[in-house]
Amino acid sequence: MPPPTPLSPPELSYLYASLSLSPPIRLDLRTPTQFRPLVAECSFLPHCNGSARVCMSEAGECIVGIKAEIEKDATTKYVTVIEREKWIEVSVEVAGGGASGPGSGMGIGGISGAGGATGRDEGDGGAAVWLKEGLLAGGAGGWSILDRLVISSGWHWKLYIDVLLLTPTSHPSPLLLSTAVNMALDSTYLPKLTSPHDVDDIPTFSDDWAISVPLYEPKTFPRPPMSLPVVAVGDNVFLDPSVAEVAAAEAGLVVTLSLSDAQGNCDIVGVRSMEVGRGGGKEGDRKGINRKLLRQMVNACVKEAGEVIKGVGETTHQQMFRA
Amino acid sequence: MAAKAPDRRRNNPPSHGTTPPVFLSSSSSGAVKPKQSSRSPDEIRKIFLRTGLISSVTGSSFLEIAPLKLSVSVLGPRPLPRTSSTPFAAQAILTTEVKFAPFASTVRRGYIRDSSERDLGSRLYQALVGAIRRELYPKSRIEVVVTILDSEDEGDDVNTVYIEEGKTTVETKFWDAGRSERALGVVLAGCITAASAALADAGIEMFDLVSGGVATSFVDEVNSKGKDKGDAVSNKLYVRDPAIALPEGKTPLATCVLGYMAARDEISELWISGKVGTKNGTTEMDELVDEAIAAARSARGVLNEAAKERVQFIVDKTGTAVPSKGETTDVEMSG
Repeated sequence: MPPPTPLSPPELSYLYASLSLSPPIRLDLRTPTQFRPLVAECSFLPHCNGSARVCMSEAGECIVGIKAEIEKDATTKYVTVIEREKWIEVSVEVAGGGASGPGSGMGIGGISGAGGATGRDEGDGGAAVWLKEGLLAGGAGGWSILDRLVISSGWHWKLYIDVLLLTPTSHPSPLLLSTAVNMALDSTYLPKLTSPHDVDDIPTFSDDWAISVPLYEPKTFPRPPMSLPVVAVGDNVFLDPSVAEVAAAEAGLVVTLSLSDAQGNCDIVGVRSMEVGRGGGKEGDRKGINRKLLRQMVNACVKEAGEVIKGVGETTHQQMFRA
Repeated sequence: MAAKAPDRRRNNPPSHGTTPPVFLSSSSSGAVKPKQSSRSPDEIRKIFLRTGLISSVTGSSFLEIAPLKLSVSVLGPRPLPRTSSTPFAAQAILTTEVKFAPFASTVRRGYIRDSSERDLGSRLYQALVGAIRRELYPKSRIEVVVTILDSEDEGDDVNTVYIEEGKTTVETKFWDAGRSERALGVVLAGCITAASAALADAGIEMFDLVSGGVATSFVDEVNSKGKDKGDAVSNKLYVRDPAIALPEGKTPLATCVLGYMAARDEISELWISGKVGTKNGTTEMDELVDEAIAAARSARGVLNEAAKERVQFIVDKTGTAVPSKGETTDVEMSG
């Protein structure tokens, strides 16, 4: 794929050179691990159990609404079948429909829809796939969000996480989507169950939102996951890359982390390679990531993630309707 | 009188031919038990890989790893259509497509690619795109199409909890969280290895062959349920090329799939899913990645042989007028 930016080869080459300096110079003069400012608010949609809106200067704007419905476990005459992976449904929609602007071949977040010309029909691309993967993956060996969705015997919540991208022409960063989903999950409340837990009848709920139950109990861990994009140019590693930086980068990863304690330590719940432009470098330089660089990239994420996720979490809690 | 109405007064024979049933000589001795995998955790399953089976495309390959069977065709490089809407491409445009045959798993797949297939396609793209010397093929397109004919199953009943009627408690005691990741991981690694073989068969210039590797880390079931976080590190079990069934008494932590270029020591595609602790920096992740790389190295041996076999075949064919029959010696895996 040609890089999805209108940058010319000389521009890319210049960008590559300045980013591979030591110390590197980023276009917006950020330090390598500095994030761009973002505007975020949550629980503002009255019809949703949880919602968030995140706006980033270049990466665009998106709204997430989370709705929960009660669902009965599919019961046949003899058995009850519980397919837990289907309890959460994630969809990513682009306002204005279909392709996401000039970088449509890239798909949303640059880590999906790489099917080139065939990638155009994908719309949501793999974004929904990796967002859900991060949510479920944290459940490996221990606590899982799915445990919170059990209502009573035979009944569970079904979560619909709907992401709407409002700016179809921009290049949405994985950070935008995952921050929004993170905030929305963090501000999700479910009505309090008033019927007993162990009865098969239709469950009943209190209509008092003041005593509703948060999906993620505050002050408990792990918190909802968040995905941080990271790219490498030469020996330098950059967090939260801009569109131009992605186009010039040689290698990219999206690291999904979730906070595991109050000190800001994080567990990695997923790593995916991200499609980058490979715009600036000379041919034949670097075709993949070697292990040292991989370590360096993931380390940078792990080190910075705690503070970022904690910060987003605090903002969420300040804004929550019950705060 | 082409089709006679069946004679209702008599016992009619079947209208089509029949085959006589063949019985096993004895129910006990003949019944083949499903083999419990006896390979050690650092050994990958045997791979069958053969190139050049489909004559109508530029390059093709067929791969078998235990139950997984897939075929790859490579079309092109061929020129982009000359339309005004086609942008100029200084480098070849690579497209990848992964499709499960409708009959490849217990749950039927539709003909339209679903999200997991599209995701596999983009993972495969990511693995291959860096390895191909695309700048040598301007204004052209290379298509890689993978068809999965049979797979180790992803959607049967381990993650589905059956509760007998009458029991009132719902206790989902057991949930294999990494099951679909392992299943898809093995498929993706197979796709990567086979696609490189097919690209080599097509004679497309590459920097290096990419081979796929998978590894999963497991911990003891008790450890995961208890509260001890991080202490489980000591008794981690790493399994290369994991089968879908869990090892006895273990529960999965994380799965790593990667595309690895052995000659350059570079990872072109990385996909880790699951929980990787960061108590000791990235050591835990490093260990997992190293295991996956080791699996990819083992697969590389097969890939090399497959490429060599094909080259030998072509050399033989052009060098001597009589094509010597392609040698079909099996390659023993060296673990």
